[in-house]
Amino acid sequence: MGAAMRIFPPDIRRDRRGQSTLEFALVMLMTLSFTLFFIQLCLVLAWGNYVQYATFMSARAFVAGGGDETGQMERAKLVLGRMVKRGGRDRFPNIAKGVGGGGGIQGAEIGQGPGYSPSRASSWPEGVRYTFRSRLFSIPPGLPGKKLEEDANSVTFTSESFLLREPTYDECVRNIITQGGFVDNGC
Amino acid sequence: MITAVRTALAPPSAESRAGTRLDRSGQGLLEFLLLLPFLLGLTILMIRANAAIQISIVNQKYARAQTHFLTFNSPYYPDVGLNGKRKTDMIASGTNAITMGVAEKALEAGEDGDTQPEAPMQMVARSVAKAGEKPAAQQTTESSGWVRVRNTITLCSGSHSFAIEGGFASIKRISEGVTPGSFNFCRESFQ
Repeated sequence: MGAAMRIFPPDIRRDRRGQSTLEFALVMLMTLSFTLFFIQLCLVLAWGNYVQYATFMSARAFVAGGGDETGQMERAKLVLGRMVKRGGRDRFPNIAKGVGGGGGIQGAEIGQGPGYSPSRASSWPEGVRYTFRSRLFSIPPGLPGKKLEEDANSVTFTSESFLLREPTYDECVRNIITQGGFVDNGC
Repeated sequence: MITAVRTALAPPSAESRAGTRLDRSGQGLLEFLLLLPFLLGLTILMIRANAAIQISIVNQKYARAQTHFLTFNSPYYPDVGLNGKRKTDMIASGTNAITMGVAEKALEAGEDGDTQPEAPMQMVARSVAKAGEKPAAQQTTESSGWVRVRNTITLCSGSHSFAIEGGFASIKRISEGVTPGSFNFCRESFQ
């Protein structure tokens, strides 16, 4: 401070030209940050609701019977992929990106969910899960080259829908043969 | 004295203007600070309203999952029920559907049907004081800052029972020689 007083003459130190511009810039930054955060939050919440519907529709495709289990999974993937992806990539990468999972759709886990076991009481978590990660604050922007997963300025959401799975034709035939029955058109 | 009068009549200097109401420095910051509580309130309201929506969606999903689980995707409900309920209870009451919801608190094991489950509640007002008193279970109010998220899923089944004089009977009784009124399978038309 003392050095500044020595460098600048008294007239310059009292000069308030540009003060309002500086204040405007500072307040604008804060207002813009908050406005962008609000808009981003709205988009993330809306996307979350949409993903809830997407996992439900995918689980519906998964539950229906078919030739074999692979066919059921492929149908579920097709429905989920069409709803949350575009050309194999995230539909709105600026809003949310699928994380984890695998099997062709980033973020998706189709089949037996966490805690599943063949026992009577724990066989219900079977269906579709989708996990995505969203950045909430646009200002300050993330560091270039930094992955979204490593960014502290982001949150992870998971949507899941467990509607179980119908036995497939193959499983039905196997069960009948195991029980010593004859395979007719009963499956 | 003359010097003092001259000083009073002289136009104010730049230094004396500073700190008066003509000074607009900090106006933008003040306006932002005045607007900030409104923006924060709006954000909190949006998050709380969305939480109520999410509670509804998630609870419906789990109610549906458990309904599918209990039915095994089958027209015939399993004999193993929930909270001690058995298929025979459904036959006795003439019920051919299962309805399931998600309550805020888990029912104690062995509690019978007299226990009323309470729906989850979500506050959507700015504060508890603004929301008012939390309504009691099963009670509706004209105006409240609390949203009661009721959700149930009903899935119809194959028939377990049919009505007989004075009650219901198991569907297994529809067979020749068993059903009252001499049911003759495939030999006479229904009236």
